[in-house]
Amino acid sequence: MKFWQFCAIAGSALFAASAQPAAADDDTIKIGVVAAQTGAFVSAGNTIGAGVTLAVKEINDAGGVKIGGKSRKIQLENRDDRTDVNVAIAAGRELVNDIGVAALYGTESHDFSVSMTKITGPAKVLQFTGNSSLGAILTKESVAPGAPLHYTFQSEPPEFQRSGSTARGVLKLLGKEIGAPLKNAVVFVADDATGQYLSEHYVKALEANGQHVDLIKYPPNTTDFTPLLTRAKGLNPDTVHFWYNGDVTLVAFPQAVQLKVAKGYFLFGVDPGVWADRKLVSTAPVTLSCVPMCWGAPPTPEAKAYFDRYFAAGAVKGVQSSVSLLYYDYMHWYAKAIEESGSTDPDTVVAQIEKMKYQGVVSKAPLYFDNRHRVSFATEVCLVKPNTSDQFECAVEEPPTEPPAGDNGG
Amino acid sequence: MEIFLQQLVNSLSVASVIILIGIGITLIFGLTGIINFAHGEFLMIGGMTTWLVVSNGGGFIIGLVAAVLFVGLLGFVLERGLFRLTLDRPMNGFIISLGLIVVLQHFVIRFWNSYQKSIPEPLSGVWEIGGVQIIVMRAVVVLITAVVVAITFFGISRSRYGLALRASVADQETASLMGVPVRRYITGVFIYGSMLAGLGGALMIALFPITPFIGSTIVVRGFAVALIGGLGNVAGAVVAGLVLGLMDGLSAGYGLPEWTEAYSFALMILILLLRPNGLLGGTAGPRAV
Amino acid sequence: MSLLEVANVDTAYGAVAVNRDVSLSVAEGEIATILGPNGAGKSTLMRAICGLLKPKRGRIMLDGHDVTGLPPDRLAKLGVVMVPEGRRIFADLTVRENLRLGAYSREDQGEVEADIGRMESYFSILADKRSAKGGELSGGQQQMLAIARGLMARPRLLLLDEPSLGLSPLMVREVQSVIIDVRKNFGAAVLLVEQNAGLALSVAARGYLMQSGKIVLASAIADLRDSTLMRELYLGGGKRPPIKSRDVETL
Repeated sequence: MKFWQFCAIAGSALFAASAQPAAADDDTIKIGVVAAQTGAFVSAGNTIGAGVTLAVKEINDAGGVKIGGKSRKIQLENRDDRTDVNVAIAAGRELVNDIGVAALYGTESHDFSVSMTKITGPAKVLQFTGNSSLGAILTKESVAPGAPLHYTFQSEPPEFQRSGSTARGVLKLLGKEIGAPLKNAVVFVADDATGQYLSEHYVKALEANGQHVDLIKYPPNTTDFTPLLTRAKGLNPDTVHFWYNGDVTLVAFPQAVQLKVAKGYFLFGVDPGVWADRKLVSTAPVTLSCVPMCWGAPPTPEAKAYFDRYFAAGAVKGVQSSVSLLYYDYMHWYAKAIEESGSTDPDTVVAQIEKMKYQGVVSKAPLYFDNRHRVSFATEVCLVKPNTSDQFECAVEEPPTEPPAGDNGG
Repeated sequence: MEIFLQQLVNSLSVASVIILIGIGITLIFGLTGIINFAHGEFLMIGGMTTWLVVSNGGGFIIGLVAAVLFVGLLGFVLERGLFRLTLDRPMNGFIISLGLIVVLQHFVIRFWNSYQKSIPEPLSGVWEIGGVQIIVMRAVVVLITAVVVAITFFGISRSRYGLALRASVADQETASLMGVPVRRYITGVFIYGSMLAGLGGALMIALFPITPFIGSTIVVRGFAVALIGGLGNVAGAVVAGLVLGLMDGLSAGYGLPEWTEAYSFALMILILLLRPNGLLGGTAGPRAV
Repeated sequence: MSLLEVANVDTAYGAVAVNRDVSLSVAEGEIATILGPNGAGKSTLMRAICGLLKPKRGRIMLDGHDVTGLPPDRLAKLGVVMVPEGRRIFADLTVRENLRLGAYSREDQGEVEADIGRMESYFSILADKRSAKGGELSGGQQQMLAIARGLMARPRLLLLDEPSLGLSPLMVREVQSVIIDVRKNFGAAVLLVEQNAGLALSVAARGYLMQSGKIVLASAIADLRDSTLMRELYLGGGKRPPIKSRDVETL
């Protein structure tokens, strides 16, 4: 044949060979993580990868996932989305289409997760991802077998539950410490990476707990909060609640205390562990919440043991380290579902997960996914004793079962 | 009322940093016609220098001095090596400065990272006067700026060098006929302006965290201040800086915070439409007033 | 040896040649003048002498030292001070500040205050208007200020470029007496460029006639005054429009 004909045939053969799905490798199960390891949301992002990494290491050290007499190791592919939705989607495509992962963990950023489901769903890749935007798309119909979101699982409770337990816990602890009834609240909120101000459920939760709420939004990259805090002060708040993005909160919070804005504060996204680690001190009462259990004030010995192992494995002491717990549990849960069902076939595994009640570290009661693929668990809320770095008083708040009036229960 | 006073007090410290930048720009631009848009990066590097010193165990004052000296040196090197070559074509200098912005930013990002840097508060404490909280560190920033402004002001209006500078801005050629080495004054002004930027950066990081990207908003404010106050007019820069700083604080405090930056620019556009030579007038020459 | 020696100097602005092969000299303490019609190249030559323009060819010597191409601020330090065409007063600086600036190049800064006093007594208008801004003065007053400013540098050679431009005859008379005094009281040599032949001829000891960038006549003042060429160029001694260039020789 002519040389060019030879090239064409050889080229096509090579192409065909390389187009085989990579998961034809029978010995490992490939898992992907997409999270913000750089960029504005690095605090939330770092923890996902670290939690999954720890779980994968434990599974592999114990021999791997056992199916049908064989042990298969898990291979983890970690991708940084740089808090940029385009990068997140590209990473998702790479993991799903090129590498052929069986399950994907991440992201924590709202619209990123929703966009990601459009890649994982059609490819039958299980996706464990957290945040409140999913509530709008996860319905009984959309997660049914054969439906587009059948393989998607929300890692955190519906937002009204998380907000509800947090609000209740915060007000209870602050009310006790301040010693007077609390009436006026100001919620300080920044946008998330995609420009949305996600305070709606928390505001409703506070109102359901008898508070009059004023909302102050601030632009991203604000570093001088004094004008906004002074404005907040003019509203005579009893409590000021910083909602979203722990790193920024820790910049704004000292300024608030200096300006004597309120009697008590709530900082979302800051673990007690970070507070102690950085030896922060406040003259005013501060409450912190964890997703779901606190590093630095773990309510159970299992949680404490987990965090010890987690940091010993080299995880960064980021402000939201507790988020890692979720992904740690879901990784183990997924492995267990494979072992119990005896197969890696996505439909089989999903059916198994839907049946299971999983006892992990995250919750005292076993976890299960409801008919909208959402979990439900308690939130731990802690009060930092004024003028101390490591004296915490904590409570585990069970979530409300119904959303408050005016809340669509997303 | 005390809320309003609080807002005023808050804005003074931000206004101070803007004034320092504005003075540097108005002197440099007024004398040489050089438009250095990387001036904001000078501030950023000043702040980063302070951070570097403090995070390696140095005291804040050392960090501040280091920032002033290092950025002054940087200004000297850039003036001699780069901007001097563009004196006949200021537009080229402007374009070069745009490239310089990227170079300086990425230098910092390459050797460290793009995250926020901060230092522990050098001075803690809050004075309370009549219900208004005056954060001590902020008061110090205002004080330092006031001293620097006074020194600059009197230097320009009273000293022999200030006289030579004012003459050079008015008429470079004739000034040189008097024996004024104008090129040296250009370098000197550039160094001085850079040092002010370095100082601004050190003071800024003492108040709140900075990223490698703060330069751009700062520099536009600096040029706004220089233009509104009248090019080369130090007193004008001070007044304009106060106005803009107040505008920032009040707009965040009372308006829609998402529009904070827009208010200052709207004000600048308005003022320049009504008084193109600036509030206190004068395109020619740094003057006492 | 002369104080100032200009030898075979060519000047040009870009590609446009102005002066061609100009040679002249000024002795210590002497008043010399360069006369010529508008556009003859006199001011260009002055700019070369004071350092604002670098000659394309030739040399400029001060006290026998080659100072060709030195910048104006260096030359000012060496004692060559220019009072520029159009006076170029710093309009936004006060009269006092203008004077003080004139002394910038001096080593003996301590004497400056005293000299300002001397200037103010010699030029009474400067004392009256000492705090006024330069721009507030009339043309004649500005000319006095410009000359005084130049003198503040204690020059060895004062270059005067068209001092009578735009002045009334009365003011021109004042300028005339000041120039004569410069030599007497301040001990400086003067190189005067003028279109006003009457003024120049009345104060200078020697003169040069320039036309189309070249020196066409060089002699003592009396001979200059009586030359045919002068009469042709300056009928009546007042300012006249330039006449066609002709090849001429020294008479």
